[in-house]
Amino acid sequence: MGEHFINILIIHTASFFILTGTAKLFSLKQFLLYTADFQILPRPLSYAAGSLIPILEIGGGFLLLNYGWWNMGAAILLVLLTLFGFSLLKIINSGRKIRCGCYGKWLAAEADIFSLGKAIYFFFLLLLVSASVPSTGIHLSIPAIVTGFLLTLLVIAAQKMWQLYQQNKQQLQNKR
Amino acid sequence: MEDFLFYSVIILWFLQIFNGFLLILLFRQFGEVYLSTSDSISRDGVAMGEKALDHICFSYTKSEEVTWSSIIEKPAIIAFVSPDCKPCREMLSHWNTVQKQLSEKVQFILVFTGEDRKVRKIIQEFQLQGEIILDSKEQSFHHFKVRVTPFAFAVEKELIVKDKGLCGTKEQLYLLAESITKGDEFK
Repeated sequence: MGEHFINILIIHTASFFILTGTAKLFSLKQFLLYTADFQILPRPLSYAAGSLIPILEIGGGFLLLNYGWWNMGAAILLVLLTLFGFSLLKIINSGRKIRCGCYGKWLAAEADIFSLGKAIYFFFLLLLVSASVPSTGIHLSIPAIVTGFLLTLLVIAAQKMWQLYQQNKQQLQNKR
Repeated sequence: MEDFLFYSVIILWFLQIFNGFLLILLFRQFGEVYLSTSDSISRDGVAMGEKALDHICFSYTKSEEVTWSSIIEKPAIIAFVSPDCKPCREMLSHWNTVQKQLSEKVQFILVFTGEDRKVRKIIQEFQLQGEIILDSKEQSFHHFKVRVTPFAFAVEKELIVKDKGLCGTKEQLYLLAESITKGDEFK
């Protein structure tokens, strides 16, 4: 049972990063502008880092699914999440409101407390997965893939709901 | 069958978490609609033209229990604040400036709720002037029907409410002062 559960979590984490990485890659120009808005690195460096992020996310996601390489995938994603988390903290503390570009142009997402929560969630999920990858390998059965993918869709749906809530809140504030 | 149940249980658990998240958003949304719109704020507090009930409160300035009628000497602005609220801190940073400018015509009274330790810390931090009330049991909040902070009333000497509203900015404090100083305009 435990092994099945870890398999689902691995698929969930991997599918999330593959999906978001692909979304970023499809709207790379826009994503690079979002990355530059963070104003953490000088503009040319942020463009370079921004170009690497989707590739690392997709690569990390696929490596996570590959038993021989899962630890490399987990390491890449953990580093990405840590850097993203610190950047978000900086933005939140500064009070600036910018798009995080987490899903490229596909879904609006802001660099806010929800994105930070999501980063922390995946960080701990990766730690849990890293600590308990089954010794028998990662089994990509159809039910596990469907379940893992459904969990990813739930995270994306939660993001959409959060965004709608923020929009409504903004509209109410404008009406005051 | 066992596999089906296993995967269903996992999906259902995550759906429960998702539902919980949606419920939190829904409650927060209700809160926003109910508490934050101008309509709802106008419903807050003692109605304009009505007299607030006189009651006993603890004066931090005098370090003793006093009645509201005994501390109000002239038309006053009574601001209800909490040490943990961010907009209150923003307002408190302008409190002394506005008070210094208008103190001849208007009395300024701050009513703090929250832990005594935090309140004393914030009073020291902003070097707050004027009458300060510690309302740790929220009796004054109850009598003035205040639910959100920072909320202020412009009252006449007899505790009759002339104006009220949120007071997160310097401009809102000036507007409240204008309502009890017979049309004087402050900037």
